[in-house]
Amino acid sequence: MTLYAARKLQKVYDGRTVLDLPELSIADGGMVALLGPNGAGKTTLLHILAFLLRPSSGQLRFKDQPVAFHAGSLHQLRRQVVLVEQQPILFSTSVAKNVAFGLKLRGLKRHDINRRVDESLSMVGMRAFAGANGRHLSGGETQRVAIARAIACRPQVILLDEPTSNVDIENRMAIETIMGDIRDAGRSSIIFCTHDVSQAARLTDMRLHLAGGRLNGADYENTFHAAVHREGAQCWGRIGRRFRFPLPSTSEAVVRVAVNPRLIEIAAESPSPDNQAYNRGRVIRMDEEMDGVRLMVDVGLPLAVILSCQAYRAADFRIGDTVFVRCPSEALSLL
Amino acid sequence: MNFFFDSLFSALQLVFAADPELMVIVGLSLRVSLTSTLIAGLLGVPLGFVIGFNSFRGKRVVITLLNTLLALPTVVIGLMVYTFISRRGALGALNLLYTPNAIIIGQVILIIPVITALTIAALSRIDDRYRRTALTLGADQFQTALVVLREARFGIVAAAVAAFGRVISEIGISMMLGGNARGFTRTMTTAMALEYDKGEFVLAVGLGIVLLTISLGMNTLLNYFQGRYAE
Repeated sequence: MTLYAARKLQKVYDGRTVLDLPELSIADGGMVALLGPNGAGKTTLLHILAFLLRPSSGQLRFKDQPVAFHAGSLHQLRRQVVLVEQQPILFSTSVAKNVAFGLKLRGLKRHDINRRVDESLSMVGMRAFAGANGRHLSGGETQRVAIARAIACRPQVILLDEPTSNVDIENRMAIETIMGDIRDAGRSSIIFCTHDVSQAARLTDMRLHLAGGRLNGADYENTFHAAVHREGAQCWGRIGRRFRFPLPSTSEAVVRVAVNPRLIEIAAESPSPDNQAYNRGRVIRMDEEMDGVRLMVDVGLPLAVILSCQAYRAADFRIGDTVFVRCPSEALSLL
Repeated sequence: MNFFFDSLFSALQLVFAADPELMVIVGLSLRVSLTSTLIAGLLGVPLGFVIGFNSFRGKRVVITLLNTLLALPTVVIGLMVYTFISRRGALGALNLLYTPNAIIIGQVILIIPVITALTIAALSRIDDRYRRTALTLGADQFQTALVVLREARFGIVAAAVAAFGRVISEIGISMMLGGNARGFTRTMTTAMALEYDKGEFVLAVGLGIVLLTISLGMNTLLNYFQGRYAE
């Protein structure tokens, strides 16, 4: 079943379009990551999906039913979707009462509430904090309690806005484990925002990339503004001080470009020393992907390059290696 | 100087001996001020909530007007209410003039702007995430409003304490609408003014001590709630 289906969905603030989605479809079940730079529209989209923000135009369907944002019955829909904000806030009462809040609203009996509070806090490893004041927890603990508060409601969808961006490594691991547990339990779909591509790759099988309020059609993550200049008949794009690549002809001075990390060419040596399309860089990080290996290459900016397992083994790159990368025209999309 | 210390000593004796006349005056002052604070709270907190929680055209104008009313002189309110409840006034038939109820009416008018404005200020300091969190957890508009109200509770109690401090120490309304009738409408402030006119300082100083003690207690409470609110 389709969980969310959006058509011509737009959100405009003061004449500025911050979200513009001609089509969007998210299936029920599983976990979906929303990726994109700051200001890409991820949080705006999450707030619309949580029925907390009315889109300026367009239609949104939830479980094949149109969402009437102007109607007064939104709280019935909201009871199926819970948003955990990037910096969640707990009510100034005990942790247990925070988790029980949504359950009381749903009219559960006291012993059912107590049981679910206990279960949810155990699931996030915060059972020992049940009596603590919610306002006196650390950032990571607050995030975990906020997730427990969402889990306890057993919603159809849990929306998480950058759940690990403000926590230490220990809490990040814990939260990723909790997200995996929720997915495995199969009660709730999870849609979450993140900047961490490797986290998205680890946890999800569907990733949506947003840039400038629009969905990037492919699984692109290298999205940049590039300055355009001409050398003879050839247009070149430059990002930062030294990363350059040939561009299709354009009259713009600056373009927004996405570089498909799977189509970037990478080699240990420059095949043609005079070829200016090759950029010298250094491998600074490597992560396992579901179907390959992600290399972060410092070419004056961090550029993600995804290699198949076979290509990775053949090339045998190591962290610190000097490499040469080229962005062929098929890897580039002007946004 | 001896005169001052003699008055102070005699006044302290009155206070510690629980002088009946002093107790009647203090009792009436507390009853009138607590009642007017309660009524103004019941009216001002919801009003402040409606103004503070909602967005509407002219909201800034309303808040500016409220802030202007904070400085309304008590004698102006006394005069205004007098025109309504005097025998020739629209509510003259109710015989309210020179009764404790008349003082309460005036004091309620005096502090409704105080409680409303401070409630709006308290709500404006509440993080909008509380509202969004309540909504996303399934609360309807009314339940969400209660959540926000609960988070603003210390600020609202502080507003009530400030309003009580305002009415317990005012004199214009009590004098003009109460008439300072002994044992009936004589409050601490009107009694002090009368005793001063008579040149009898002992009761006036005794009442002053009680009034200062109440003010100290109120300010201690106010600081406590404001401190909790700021946490």
